[in-house]
Amino acid sequence: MKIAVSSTGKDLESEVDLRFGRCPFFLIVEIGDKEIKNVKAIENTAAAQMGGAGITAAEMVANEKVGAVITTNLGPRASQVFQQLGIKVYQAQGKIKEAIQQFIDGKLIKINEATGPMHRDFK
Amino acid sequence: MRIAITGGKGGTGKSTVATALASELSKNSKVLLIDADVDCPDDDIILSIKLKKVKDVENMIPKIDKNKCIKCGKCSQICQENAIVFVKGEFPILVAEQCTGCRACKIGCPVNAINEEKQKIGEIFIGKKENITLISGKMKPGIEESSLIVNAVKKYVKQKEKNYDYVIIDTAAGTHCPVIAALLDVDLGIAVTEPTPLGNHDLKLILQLMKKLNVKAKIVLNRSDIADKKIIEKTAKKFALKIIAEIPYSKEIEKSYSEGKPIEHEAIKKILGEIK
Repeated sequence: MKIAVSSTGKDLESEVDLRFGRCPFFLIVEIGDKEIKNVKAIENTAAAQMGGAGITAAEMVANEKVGAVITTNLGPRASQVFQQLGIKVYQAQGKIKEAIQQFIDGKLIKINEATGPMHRDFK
Repeated sequence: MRIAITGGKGGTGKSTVATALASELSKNSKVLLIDADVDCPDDDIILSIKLKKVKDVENMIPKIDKNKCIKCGKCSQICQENAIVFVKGEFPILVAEQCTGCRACKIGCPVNAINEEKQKIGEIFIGKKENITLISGKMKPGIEESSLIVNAVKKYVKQKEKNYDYVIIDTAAGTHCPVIAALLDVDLGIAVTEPTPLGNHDLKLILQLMKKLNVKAKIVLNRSDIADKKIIEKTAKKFALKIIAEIPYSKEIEKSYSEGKPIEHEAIKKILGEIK
């Protein structure tokens, strides 16, 4: 199974970015037999978009054929897209490596709705 | 006669002037006041008018026929509002709040797989007080494009306008789509401003917009004595326009405003003299 993580950087040592739509990178992590098989970083080209960044970012990660997404905060538009596509979203904070382990261990909490309004700034 | 009350900057007194003007005009004529500040309409509060809902505002949204859709993604590419998400191998996904109902997706679909559906985006209210009829548009929170509601309100009043001597349109702040929609087809646009750098800056923008839209403009200076009014006079001169009235910053006016009542002041009568 592939999962997408909103990331501050390009590797597993990076942190889970607090924002989904406007994070700088997504890590696409492939998991098999409860282990990390492959990691790929993609740049979030939607991050600088005026509006609807969450929608474009959701489209981008969905095109990577992920089954789940890990982030900290999710906006209402991106949430709608994932719901309609049946992609599950989980909430995590801190180092991505650890967040993935928690995901594998089934310890992450699923988010069923947006965690906040649009255009939220966490800086 | 259709008069729009606008101004650019928020909080300059557009609703204060619009309601005061409506009250004053209603002493001798029939007035239709349109609250086109659909994000936060509040003329009913100032006039103590109880509103009743008359209509839902709806717009078209695409509904994808999954029997016909070939999952080509063209609709998503065409959509300028980012309202259609396309993931390879999946049916397109609609984010309805983003949709402005432009139908470009429907026109562009190569297999006619897009049908029309409706979504509620706002409401229209009506209320009466003596010679004033107030019609207010209210946008459903979360909808992206408020000009759709302004246009729906204008369409709704079209048949009723002939029963009134004056139509006053209270616009939103700013110079974007809902304000443009409100300003189209008016006989006069009154820009309410204040003698501050912000008021002056936004006044210039709204005057430029009215020039572009071929709307005859006049300026009303509110809180005229809180600072040096030279900056506004300079702008008026630059646009070859007149400041038709000045409303001072007075305790009396602030009192009626804070109590939710239309203000009464000789400056309002002065405006009347200029528009009649």
